[in-house]
Amino acid sequence: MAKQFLNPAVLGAAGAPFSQGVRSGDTIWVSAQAGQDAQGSVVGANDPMAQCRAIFERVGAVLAAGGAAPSDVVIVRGFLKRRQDIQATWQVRKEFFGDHRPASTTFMVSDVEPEGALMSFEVVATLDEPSER
Amino acid sequence: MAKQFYNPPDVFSPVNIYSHGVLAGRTLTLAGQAPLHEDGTVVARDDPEAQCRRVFADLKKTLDMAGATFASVVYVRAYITRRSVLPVLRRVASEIFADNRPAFTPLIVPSVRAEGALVEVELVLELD
Repeated sequence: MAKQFLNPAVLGAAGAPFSQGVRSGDTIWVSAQAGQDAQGSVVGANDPMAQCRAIFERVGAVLAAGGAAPSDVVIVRGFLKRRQDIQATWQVRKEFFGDHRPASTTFMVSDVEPEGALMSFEVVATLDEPSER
Repeated sequence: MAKQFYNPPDVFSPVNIYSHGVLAGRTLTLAGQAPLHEDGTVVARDDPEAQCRRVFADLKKTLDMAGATFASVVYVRAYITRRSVLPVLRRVASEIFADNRPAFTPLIVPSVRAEGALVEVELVLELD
């Protein structure tokens, strides 16, 4: 199946040999995103809200590059270093998804890439209306 | 939709309750692959490069059995037990994937199923 590699310039490079996201048919896989700027620096040191906002800005940019919107997301997975940051992620996700309620899994990990990141998130989206791109 | 299950005889399974690869429609999902010898012992303890190479070699056996190649991979999830494995994994994966650029989620976890393994990789492919 024809694939489209999604690497919006605003995110900076994904690092070989990977993409920030892939669209295959009508499914969009968004790679785990950390709260980084386009240069790869982690934003908001020790600020879960700032990091999470940066993450979902990036997720939104990858989705858009694949022709998808937040309302196309079917599952969100969050990987957190600290349990205490969950509340902040819920608030940011509410801002991002509004009334859309995708499936969700969150779990704790021993560390997050890159250094200084408190969390990362990945999503999978499917487009409602199949298209030919 | 009928599923197909792939279990190469020379890829170790700790227990016969799962498959190494499952094809449903045109989506092929591979189980997390650890760096194991055929007898289940861990390959090259403390050598992340040797472990990564073994992981991809065993993933390839499952792909071969399914008639698939790394060119069809859309998503890679890697479980690593320390951050320093990541650049090694990227280097090895760069050789494996060539021009393909799958989505990627690295997870740093306290440990993986096989004691002594530094890395485990699972894949999703969309076949033509």
